[in-house]
Amino acid sequence: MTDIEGASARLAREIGNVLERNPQSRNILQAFEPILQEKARLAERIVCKQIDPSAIDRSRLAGGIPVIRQTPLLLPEDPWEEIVRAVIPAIIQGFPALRAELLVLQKGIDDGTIRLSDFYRAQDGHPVLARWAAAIVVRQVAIDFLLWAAEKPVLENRRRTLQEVLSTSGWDRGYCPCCGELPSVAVIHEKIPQRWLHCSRCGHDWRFSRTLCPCCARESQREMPYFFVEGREQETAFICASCKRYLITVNHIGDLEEHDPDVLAMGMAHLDLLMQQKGFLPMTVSAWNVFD
Amino acid sequence: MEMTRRGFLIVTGAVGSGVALSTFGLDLGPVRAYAEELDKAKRLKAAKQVTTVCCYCSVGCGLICSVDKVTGKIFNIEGDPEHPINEGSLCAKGAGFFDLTEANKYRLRKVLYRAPGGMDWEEKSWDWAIPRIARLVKDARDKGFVARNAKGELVNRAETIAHLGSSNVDSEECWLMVTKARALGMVYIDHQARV
Repeated sequence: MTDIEGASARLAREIGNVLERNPQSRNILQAFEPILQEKARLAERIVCKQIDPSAIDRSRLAGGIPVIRQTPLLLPEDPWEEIVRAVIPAIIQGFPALRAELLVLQKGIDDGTIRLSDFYRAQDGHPVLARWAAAIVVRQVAIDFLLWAAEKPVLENRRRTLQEVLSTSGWDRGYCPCCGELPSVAVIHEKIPQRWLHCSRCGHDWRFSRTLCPCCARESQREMPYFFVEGREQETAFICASCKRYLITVNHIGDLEEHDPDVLAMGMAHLDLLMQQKGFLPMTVSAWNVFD
Repeated sequence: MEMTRRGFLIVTGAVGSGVALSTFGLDLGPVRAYAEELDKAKRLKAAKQVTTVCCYCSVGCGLICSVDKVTGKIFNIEGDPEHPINEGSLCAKGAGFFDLTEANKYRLRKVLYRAPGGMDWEEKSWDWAIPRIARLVKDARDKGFVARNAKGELVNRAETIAHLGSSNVDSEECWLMVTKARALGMVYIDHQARV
């Protein structure tokens, strides 16, 4: 079995495990599975211009400036057409309602109406998206979603090459040292109950204090509130009374248990719903935690 | 800056953000129904974490206690990974700390007495137990008390009574117990300080 096949089988197994515990999340998990599978394949396969780790200023990193603020992680010359050709069928499989729009998008890319590199060359990509949407009469959200899925393998590919720099940087901030995004989910381990934050954008995991809010850095030794589901104490949502944000957290996950934090987070979408109904905001918006 | 949820969703930078799943034709009915069910059954519980220090020995390991916000009861105790002494790890005693709380269903809540030669335990009151323990300790101590040894040196020791500590007493309790034992003249004192 190749690495890619092994990763694919592992992901399918993890999704199966989460579905056993959280069957109510079946639609979400089944929709995202083809995208996650394709992302894992592409992250291994695509050839991106690599960033020289020595070009990262470690002192700036130690000072809280993430890699993406030091050097671009998404380049116009990245193989966007190849990625999008692979990603579109995966999105269509998971989200059949997007089929017509994605096929139009594919046609636009094939005939040159849409040049994805323009988006990554632009200072602000939003006018570019709006122009494309108007040119091919496709909702901007559909293009946005496609780019989200296309960016993931590139960011993950680059993050892997920077792993040594990232893991030895002594990073102690609440946002991702690689892409600067706030965490989408946290995992607390069982034996040594450290909290590890996960960035769903580039896939980086980093350790973070349990007494600090990752979003506003408020420290609270005496009262760190959270919600949990009675009888399912692994499923929790830590909340910050100061900035009114929440963070989905999987508590006491076995150290030997295979887990994909994104899959775990999707399995706990009910907690996202409940927290949002209580007036809290997610620390970051992921593709699966916006409901209305 | 006052920020609404919708506002927050719109201003976050990354692409693909802020798009409702239902926009893409995803049926969220089962998730909504489950969330509603949890809410109706009041299964979503509020808790808080409080940091503290283990009382067992002088090492001073950090702990995080999870407390139910409604009942005020502790329902989990674990090592504090940010604590500089233990970095989240705990010894066997510390790891079993939760059993010291009232949540431990095996914890004795009443005095149980088994008479000499008896087979059954009887429930007794503290008013009955404490004077009796004191009387028996004093009698045993007085019976074996040695004021001077064979050489005529002053020793003031009780040789017919010993004191065994417990792994479930904290540093302050240990101090009290050993002070009491020394005051009685005990020389056979042992204690399971650390496992």
